[in-house]
Amino acid sequence: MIRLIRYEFIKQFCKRSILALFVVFSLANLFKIYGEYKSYSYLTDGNGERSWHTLHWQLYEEYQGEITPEKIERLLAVYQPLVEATSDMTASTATDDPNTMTGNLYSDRNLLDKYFVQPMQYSYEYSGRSEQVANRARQSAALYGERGAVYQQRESGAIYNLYAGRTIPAFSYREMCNYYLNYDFSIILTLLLCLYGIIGTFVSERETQMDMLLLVSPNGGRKTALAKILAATLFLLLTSLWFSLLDLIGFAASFQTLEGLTLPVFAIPNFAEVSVNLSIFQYVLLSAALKCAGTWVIGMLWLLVSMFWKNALLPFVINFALCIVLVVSGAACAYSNFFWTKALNPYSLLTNRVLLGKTEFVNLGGFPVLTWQAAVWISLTAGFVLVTAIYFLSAENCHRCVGRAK
Amino acid sequence: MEITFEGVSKQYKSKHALKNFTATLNEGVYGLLGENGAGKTTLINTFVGILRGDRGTIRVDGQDVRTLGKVFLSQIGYMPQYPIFYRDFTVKDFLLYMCALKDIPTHDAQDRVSELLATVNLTDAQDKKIGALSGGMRQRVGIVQAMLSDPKILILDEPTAGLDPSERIRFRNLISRFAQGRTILLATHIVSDVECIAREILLLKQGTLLMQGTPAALEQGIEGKVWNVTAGAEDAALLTDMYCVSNMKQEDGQFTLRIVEDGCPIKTVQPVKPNLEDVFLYYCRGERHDTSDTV
Repeated sequence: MIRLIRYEFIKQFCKRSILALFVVFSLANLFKIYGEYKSYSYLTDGNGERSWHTLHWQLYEEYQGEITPEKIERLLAVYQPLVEATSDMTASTATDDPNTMTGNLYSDRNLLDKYFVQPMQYSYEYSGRSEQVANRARQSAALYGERGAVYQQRESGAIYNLYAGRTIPAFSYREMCNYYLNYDFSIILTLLLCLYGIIGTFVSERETQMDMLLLVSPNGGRKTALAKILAATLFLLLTSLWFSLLDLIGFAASFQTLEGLTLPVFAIPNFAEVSVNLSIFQYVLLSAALKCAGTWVIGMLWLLVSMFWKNALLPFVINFALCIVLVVSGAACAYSNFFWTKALNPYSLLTNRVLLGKTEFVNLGGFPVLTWQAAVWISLTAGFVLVTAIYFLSAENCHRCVGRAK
Repeated sequence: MEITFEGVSKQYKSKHALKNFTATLNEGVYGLLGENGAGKTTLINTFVGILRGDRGTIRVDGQDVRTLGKVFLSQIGYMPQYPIFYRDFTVKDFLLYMCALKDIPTHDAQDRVSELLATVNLTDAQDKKIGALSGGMRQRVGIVQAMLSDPKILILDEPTAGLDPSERIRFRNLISRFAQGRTILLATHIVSDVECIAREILLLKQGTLLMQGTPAALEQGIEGKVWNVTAGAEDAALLTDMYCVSNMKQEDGQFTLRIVEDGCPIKTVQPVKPNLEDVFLYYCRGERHDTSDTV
């Protein structure tokens, strides 16, 4: 079986065109990531003595780590006078003021505000806010319990368990993580590459008339179909994992740091209501796993559709259209309250922050299940149904195609 | 090894591709001869299990092939019509892949591939990509893959289609070489492919087995029905319209026609010894000889 899987993998995916696309897409992804850094980060002004980049990392040495009252006082002692000096907007706009860090008062204030004060304030206040949410959830649970609303009681209980005890004990640079967690471009590249790779898995056997030989070989029927499914699965997972890894490498290289990965994921403001209590690094691993699951299910769907055709063009078009439908419907429902729609669309697993970023539940038999968990179970079930269909239909379909060809 | 076809039939919508095909094959080369669309490929596809027959049974040594499953598949080597294979694979990689499909252990596969490549004179091309091979070389790769598991039954569907004469002869000799100790079923519409090497010929027409017999017996069957006629241009044109002409040769303004006909077309001519092409033409030209018969 291993031999068959190896040959299937080589046959389908070690083609020059796929390898070339792999390289081109990887480079495009890295350029895009670098473009994100250049477009959105304020720390791209070089390594000059008064550049934000240099000053930020100097100040960061001072304030990083555990958030203590001393650090806050020290920061406010620098920041507060700047706020006062610039509050009426009458301060000098000169950019070479020797009494400032960056050469300009406003710039000094902005640097401290964006990279130190706001993040530290958010981190400092987050535990209080989450405690409030937890307390309200506990009260709601008690109230629903009294009224006999079992599902709502369970949901409130789940919210309490999720939010109780949330704190952000340390201050860390989080800009890289923020942009990394909100980056989606590589998903499109993953899908395009996977579609191109997957489409020939069964069709190429017909195009080369090898389907006849497969059918008359002892291992050529369902065993080969299984080998194809496993080789395709391997390709889908490797592609998805590669782009997840490349994203991280690209962002780390562009921002020149891996700082922030140990923070809890709710330390990123966009993820304040995240439905998992994980560090950013753990979240990255979970996100990569969810992307793999989503890519696999969509890939299996493509594989099933492509089985019924004699050449690659039409199934490519159909699968591309299917992909567009999934992407558009996924994007349309991403921030809506149609939780089931999100859970049912495997594309949500690829852009998984729409599932993980909010604490949302779906009602499964009276039990509140987080949408991302429901999406995983639904997608995996759908994936296994698709695999079973491919496995059992592959030989049957071959017979039908030979018959149709006459 | 004895292969028995009993009343095998296959129908595509209203068209009978195979009608009540009954025959017995033993060791040796069997030429399955018929025009395009006669049902040769349908018969082969039904035999190897690619198609399901509507009726009838196929037995190998008395056992229904449908019940034999993988055991049957491991006994057959099959070369499809117009094989393309995987263009990006080298010859050797492709054959090793075929070994994996045929469940041949890795350590035996290398030896078997090398041995067969040497037999078909393709050792030097083993690292070439299949897409870079000539038609003849690709056909030889085709027969090597069919022979990998040392099958008892070798099935070749139009193996010489598109080959030049020298490649065709080379291929024919290869088939003879591989015929020892096995049954070879060779489907073709090119008479010369099977004329010299086939033990028996099965003549198919519109899905029906017209004749089965040795080439000599088939030729004997139309003894006295082939005529050589010499005529001028005008008469030659007239004779061509009236009779079934298997060959026409022009020399010094005169035409020599080889006519296949039950009765003497011109009183003065004598019959000549028939060949297999004449047999093919005699049975496959019109409707009047559509009776299943064994010589």
